[in-house]
Amino acid sequence: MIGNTVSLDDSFGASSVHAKLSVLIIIASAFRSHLTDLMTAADRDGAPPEGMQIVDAMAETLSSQIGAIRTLSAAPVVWTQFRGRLAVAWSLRAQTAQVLEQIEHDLTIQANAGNPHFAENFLHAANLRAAEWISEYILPKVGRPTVAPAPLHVSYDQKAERFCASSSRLAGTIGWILQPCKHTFYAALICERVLEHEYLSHLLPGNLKLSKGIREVWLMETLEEEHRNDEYIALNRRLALMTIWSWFRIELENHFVRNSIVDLAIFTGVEDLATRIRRRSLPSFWKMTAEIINLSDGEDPRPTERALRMLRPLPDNVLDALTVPWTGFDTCIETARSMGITPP
Amino acid sequence: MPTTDRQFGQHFLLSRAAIRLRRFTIADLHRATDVPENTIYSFVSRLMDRRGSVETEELSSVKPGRPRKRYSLTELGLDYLLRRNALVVSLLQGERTSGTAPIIPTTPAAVIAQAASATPDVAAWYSSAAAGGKPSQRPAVSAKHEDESDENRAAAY
Repeated sequence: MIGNTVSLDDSFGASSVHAKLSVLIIIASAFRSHLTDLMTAADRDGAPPEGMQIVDAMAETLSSQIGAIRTLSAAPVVWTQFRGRLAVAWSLRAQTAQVLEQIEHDLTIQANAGNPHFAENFLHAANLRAAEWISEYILPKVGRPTVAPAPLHVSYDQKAERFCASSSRLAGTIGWILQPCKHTFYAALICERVLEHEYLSHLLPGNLKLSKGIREVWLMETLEEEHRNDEYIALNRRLALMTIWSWFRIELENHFVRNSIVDLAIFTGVEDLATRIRRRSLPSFWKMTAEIINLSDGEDPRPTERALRMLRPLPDNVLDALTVPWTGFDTCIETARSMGITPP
Repeated sequence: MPTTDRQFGQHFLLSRAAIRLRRFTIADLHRATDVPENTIYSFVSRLMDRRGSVETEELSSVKPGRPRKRYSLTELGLDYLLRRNALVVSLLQGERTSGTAPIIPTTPAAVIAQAASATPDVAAWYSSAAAGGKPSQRPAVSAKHEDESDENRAAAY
């Protein structure tokens, strides 16, 4: 256990498995420091490649190489393969090339530093920031006290069949999963947000039976919109992070839906609804979110789910009639029935 | 666009990606959806026809050809796409067309089956999307309800 929040699965006892995590985190850490510069430089130089294409090239390289990594010395090898991939596809111009040199410089220093716990410390710091952000920006709006950082347990999923992070509310822990797939790199780049999602969608809701539609879509949108409107982060940085976050979600959705790991239903159920309601009535949105998060284990979550499914396809005027002001999910369904709308 | 238009389903997919990204290039939407670029140009062009829906920023490019642009959804454009998507969901759920209670499909096959009972074009689009995960082929559609367009319906909101 490092700094009281991060522990590693037994599989990391093998130095080759630990090296996979270290290389991923060293490269992600170097990229993160220069992300805004990279996006700006690519824009100024002119595409292709765009900033995201460069990030994606690294995600592809790591995805294909993680399985083969055995030692920390693989970091520069992965970097060389990444540069080779870029060189085959594009001719980099001056500003972009300069930012990449800075990234390479940073990762070389880190790879040579011989810090055996760099990855754990990185994840620990991200975990602290995630808990702090959730406590400051979300919890006051849903009437909940601040949350302490949860223990973070890191494991390795060689087949990339699980989610890249997972949580156990009963144990009060978050799992961080290292996987040989593209979204692992994105998840490392924006690991605070991935962990914030774990807090908001999995550790904080009082009801264990909330559906994936609520946890993975409604509460995910809650998080996303709050970050989108976070004016404490410089605009360029915010846009760069939002871009990575958006592509992370797209890659994740494509991976899980195309491999039949997740039903399309979790997206078609309440997708866009949180954004619509938030834009139409912020007080209603936060009351609904508070009701969702504060639903206790003894309560039946199905009316909540039914109400959200019922609301999603409704036109704006009907949506407003049922949600502004917000009086609760049960009342919403009763009112809808009185209007001739049949809930699912 | 009429709901029977061949590109209706692809535009739904593009709307989802545009809402998620908010700022995008044609290449971004192509990467996110695998929809052919010509269809993406048509989607963006329709958005731009709705005055004030998107802001355009011209980007430098190292390649000859069309100038590279980045589009940013405005509040107006975002609201419009959110309404359009809600309409598509209502069609998929059969709520408006048949008056039956909406049922959420749980698999791509179920989506196709439900879409078939809603509109033939959406069903065809989902069929092509499910076959290999790339909704890149234009679905063949028989014309029906030609006087109804999603924009007219959305405007009625």
